[in-house]
Amino acid sequence: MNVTDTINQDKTPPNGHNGATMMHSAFEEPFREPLVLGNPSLHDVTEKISSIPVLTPNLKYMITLFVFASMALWGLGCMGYTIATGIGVWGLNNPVGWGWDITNFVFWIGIGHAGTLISAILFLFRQKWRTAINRSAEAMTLFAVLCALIFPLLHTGRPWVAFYWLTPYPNQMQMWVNFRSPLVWDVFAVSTYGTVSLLFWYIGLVPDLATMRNYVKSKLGQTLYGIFSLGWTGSMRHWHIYEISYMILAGLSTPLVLSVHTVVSMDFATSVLPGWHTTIFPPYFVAGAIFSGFAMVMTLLVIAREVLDLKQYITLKHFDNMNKIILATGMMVGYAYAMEFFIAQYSGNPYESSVFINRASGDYAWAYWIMVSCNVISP
Amino acid sequence: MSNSLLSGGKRYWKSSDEFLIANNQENTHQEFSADYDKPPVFESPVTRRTFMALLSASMAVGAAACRRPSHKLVPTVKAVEYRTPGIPNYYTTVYQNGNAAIGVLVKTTEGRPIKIDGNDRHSASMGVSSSRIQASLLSLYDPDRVLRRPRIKGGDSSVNNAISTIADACKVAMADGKSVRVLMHEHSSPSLSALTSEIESKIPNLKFVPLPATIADGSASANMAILGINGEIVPDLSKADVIVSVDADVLGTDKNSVYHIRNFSSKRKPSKKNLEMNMLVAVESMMSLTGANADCRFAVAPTEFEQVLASILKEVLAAKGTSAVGTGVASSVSSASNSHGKKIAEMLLKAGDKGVVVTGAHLSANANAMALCINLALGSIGAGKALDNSHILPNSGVKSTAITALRDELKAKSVGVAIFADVNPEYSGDREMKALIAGIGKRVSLSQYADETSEICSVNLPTTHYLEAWGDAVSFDGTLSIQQPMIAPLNESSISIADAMMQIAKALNPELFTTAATYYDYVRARHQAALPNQAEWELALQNGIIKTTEVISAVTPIVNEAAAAQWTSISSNAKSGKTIAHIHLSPNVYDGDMANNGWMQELPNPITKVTWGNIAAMSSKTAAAMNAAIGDMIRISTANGSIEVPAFVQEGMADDVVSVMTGYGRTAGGKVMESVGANVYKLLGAGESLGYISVTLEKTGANEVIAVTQGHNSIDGRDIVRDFTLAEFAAGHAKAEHPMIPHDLSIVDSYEYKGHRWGMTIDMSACIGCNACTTACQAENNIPAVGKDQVIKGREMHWIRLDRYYSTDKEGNVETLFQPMLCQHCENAPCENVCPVAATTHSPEGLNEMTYNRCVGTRYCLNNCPYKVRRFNFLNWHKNEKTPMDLVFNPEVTVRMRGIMEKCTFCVQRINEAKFHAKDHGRSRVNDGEVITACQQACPAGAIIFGDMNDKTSRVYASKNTDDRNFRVLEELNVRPSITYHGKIRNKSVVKA
Repeated sequence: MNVTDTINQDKTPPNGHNGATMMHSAFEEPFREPLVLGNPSLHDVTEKISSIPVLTPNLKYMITLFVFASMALWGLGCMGYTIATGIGVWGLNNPVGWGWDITNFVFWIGIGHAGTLISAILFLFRQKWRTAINRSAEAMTLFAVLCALIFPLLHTGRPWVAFYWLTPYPNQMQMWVNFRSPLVWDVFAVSTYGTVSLLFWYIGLVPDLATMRNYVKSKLGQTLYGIFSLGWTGSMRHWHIYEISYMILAGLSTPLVLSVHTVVSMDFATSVLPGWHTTIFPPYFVAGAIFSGFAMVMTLLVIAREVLDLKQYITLKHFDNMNKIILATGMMVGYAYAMEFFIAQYSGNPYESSVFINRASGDYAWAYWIMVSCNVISP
Repeated sequence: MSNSLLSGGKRYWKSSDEFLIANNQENTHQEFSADYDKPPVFESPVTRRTFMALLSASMAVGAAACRRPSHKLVPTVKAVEYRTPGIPNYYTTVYQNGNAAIGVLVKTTEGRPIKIDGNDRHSASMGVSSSRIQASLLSLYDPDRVLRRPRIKGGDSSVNNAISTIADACKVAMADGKSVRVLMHEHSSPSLSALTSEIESKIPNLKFVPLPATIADGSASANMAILGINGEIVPDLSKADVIVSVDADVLGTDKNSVYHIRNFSSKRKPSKKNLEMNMLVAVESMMSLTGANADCRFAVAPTEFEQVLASILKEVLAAKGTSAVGTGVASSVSSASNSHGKKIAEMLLKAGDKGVVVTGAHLSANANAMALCINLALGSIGAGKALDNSHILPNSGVKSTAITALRDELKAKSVGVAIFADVNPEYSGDREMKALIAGIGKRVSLSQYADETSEICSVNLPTTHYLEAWGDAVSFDGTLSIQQPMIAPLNESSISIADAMMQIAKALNPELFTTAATYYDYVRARHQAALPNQAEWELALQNGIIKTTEVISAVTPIVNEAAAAQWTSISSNAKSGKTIAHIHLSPNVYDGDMANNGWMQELPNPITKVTWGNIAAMSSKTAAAMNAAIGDMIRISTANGSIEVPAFVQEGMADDVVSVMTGYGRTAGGKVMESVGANVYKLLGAGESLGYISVTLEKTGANEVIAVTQGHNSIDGRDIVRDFTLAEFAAGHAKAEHPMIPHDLSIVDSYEYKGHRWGMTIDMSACIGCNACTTACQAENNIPAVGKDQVIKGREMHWIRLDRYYSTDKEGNVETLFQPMLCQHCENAPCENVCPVAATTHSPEGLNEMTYNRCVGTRYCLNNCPYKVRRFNFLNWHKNEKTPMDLVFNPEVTVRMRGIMEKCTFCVQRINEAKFHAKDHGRSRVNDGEVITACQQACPAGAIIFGDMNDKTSRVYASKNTDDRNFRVLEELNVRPSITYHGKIRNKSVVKA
């Protein structure tokens, strides 16, 4: 939810900014469905959105918080058990050295893609409908990257050294990381991605933080929002610099949408394992990432829209747009699934074919067919 | 899945499942380990409290949980002679596998034995060893053995008290007119024999009776009747061209298997120049290690063995005449007719006096007598022949008469005191024996473990391990060795059996042992004549053998023709009943003596690859008939009892035969062995032991996951193993299947190895799959045993995996191949470039090195290893290791903590030691043969050659460059392994030298 737009009511709106056009969109583009229902004034929007962090949480919110906090605590307990006892508490074995840990990592990184895509690429393409969802998508990206970082760390045998030995830094061991390892590429890709996403989210948030600073009544709130809004006054000069930096960051993060999952896919693509050693992985992973990322944004927004009573602002139109992207990427993923099988057969490599035949008909066939039906057939 | 890229049509498989899938007979594909669908989280139930504790601790735990346990160092106050800290000392001693003596060399560091290897001066060992010898080291440090105290009526006591209590009990019994019986295990010690006869002569009511867990008298009975030799003849397989094994597991569970493997494999390495090779024919009902290595194998029902032998005998006599055995024999086998027998006779006749038939001693005396007559007729018995009639296994005479006499005494209740000296009849006895023992008034146990028999004894006295006590042992060819202790008894209140018996006897008759205070004095005095002074005694200890001037020479065998004729008829006691159980020794825990040894429990059975427990192995047809799948619990019952074991479908089994191993199902004495598997001895009736009994089988409806290390992976037709017949090899086919793979695909130049470049070859033709390398590696490299649960999860840690493959020959008979699979030290190692922290790197000498301290455990290397030889410490496997278990560790090798990857290092500690040694001698290079890896050192088959590939004079260079059979596994991946294998050759037709 982008509160920035609401500022424009009180301050001089810069020309062509989203907020201004949003309000008038119904007039300028009469054939399009309005992005916000009920035609609220900018002040109404500010009031509504800004009240969310300030008001006493309602029951629906508390129930949701309780459910998810319990799950998080359970996860924390399991992590503690894993670290204290050893990775053997998971069902991993030889020769299957990786399991849900890496699956989760790839999953969360993939989900993180939606945030960047919405923030950066849709921004560059001037897709105005993004403003209703971009903040939540970006926040989700950040948390997804955090979640993703837990797993590669936790899956190592000795996480207490893994978290810094994987980064290149001058040390008394005179050891560098092994730059040939895709896992090191991962470290760079994911940390870059995390940093840029954080900056992007924060820069975008600055005018909103200023609004909150003005809105909240408590002294503490005013001080904290004041610090983080970096002295934002809403002057033309501020808006100018803001727009430029936002644009630059959008430009920077756009290649990241493609690069991060490309690098993650190389964890598999550069290995010698049949079924992993394929060149289709980078585009396949990126498409899958956007696919799952949008799905996650929608999952979260469906809940948020209900719990926080935001149906007016996050409309079915937004969902419709996101569904179109899901449909497109779903088809790409479906193509990749099919192509994997085709190549396995076409290559004439019996080990490769064996892996794929086994994937569709072996012990884990149920999982494969659930995946196919959820990812390809049902969307 | 049979559309192999490379293997040229012949199909190999690992498990019966894989075979069935390929034939579309079954639709379950065991690609994953058996419990892949079990919930892995929380091995132990988590209570609310544990959960809360975990939760609260989870923040800090990352830092706190990761410390290794700390140990205090205690300085030596008084310096010890002959010891330089850090430099190991080697001492000789002798290991007794029952009554077979095998000379060994023990490596000790800082006074503790850490490795056992064969003594190359000892004829039964010739420098090599078996997995059981290697693992006997672990038993030395077994806490269940060491942390015991003598007990009298359940209360703790002392050795002296226990001995005087025993002596008093004996006195009371003797005064009462009752006798004392000491029940002994088999042994090959001349001093112990002398000791026992001395005691028997001075104390008339006391007698020693051999009561080993398993008894097999067939061979001794036949030899006694026909040749007048009361004992088993030990064959020398290196002197035979055609070896026919009738249910004799000479390469597997035979007491002298080390000796046999060495001799057998010495003639299994043909080259283009020398095509000479022996031929092994096996007739058996189960799949034994010997059968698996046979060039020609006949799976027949046990009832047919005598038919086969009679038929061979008939054919041999027809060709060779009856002069050797007399005409009576010819008439007693005249009616025999068996197609297998005819074929085998043909092969034997081609070899003439270099043909030999060996039979299982557990078979009937008639079967053994027939084999003896075949050998006599062929002329293969005599001095310098494969069967030297002076090579008699010590104390291998007929035992059943003495045991039957004991049973009669027990029935008559004339035995007042029974002393169980390292025997455990409460566990291994048949039903009648157990009942009789329960009737003895006073039972006393002298044993290493607080075993089942100890539990029913009023006095328990812990005894010593063989590395803790003095003694001596003689091997079949007269080689005499002194057994010298390596370490003072770890259990301070333990005593050797001989010492205990001396003290008891002295208390009963003070005239005894007036000159010898201890058994050491006794042994020393006995060898006084041969070793008159201290220098000679020390030399004997140093060499591990006593050079005797007395040479036992074989005389021409004198045949009792009447007995031969009488014994060669087919015995009428054929087993009735549809299903026959084959009770056989476990190659690992044997009759139960090594059951508390984690290394032995976890060592995969050479054939079935099953660990931790026994199984009911049966043919697929037998299993299908009772609708049993692998893991279904089968109740095997006889009139005497029943056991429940999981069914296992085994290739090469005769139909309607179920084979079960002894040594499992222990109920007392040690944490490792208790409740592992089922106790087969429960099925036995009076006088029954190893061999065949009629049983009934039924499914119980339950099932159990079998901890099998192979069978849940499929090879999908990869070109991993190769085998050829000798004829194909001679015709140059061995090279024909080498794939045309370009080796210089890289855009950068390959690394030039300027100094050493270590490499290895493994000869699959010589390798018989005995597992000695696996255990030797385990002992050398501090490899833990992980337990049954973890093996089921596929987390066994052995650095050497002895892969076993099956294929079929043209007639459809099952053939077996063994391939030790260890880190291949690839030049283009796929594991190295994926490690993010550079914990696994290539050394300038071609080693694929693993830096444990650097490893963070991403397991990427494990995923990327095409040979699947990397092992990960999923948990802290050493957590439950109690003192003195930690003394077994090799100080040269890091003990790995959890979260770390490990794998074969090519024994880098030995390479470095050799390099230091070379440097000390002013050399810049290590000479060939100075580095011997642990696996190579142990390998009785001599299948492993290790050395410097840059040294053009080295054995490994020659082996890699001149042998036509040389191939690399998974060559198509271009990872360039440093280990090459030599394809297996099978001798399908007798080639005369």
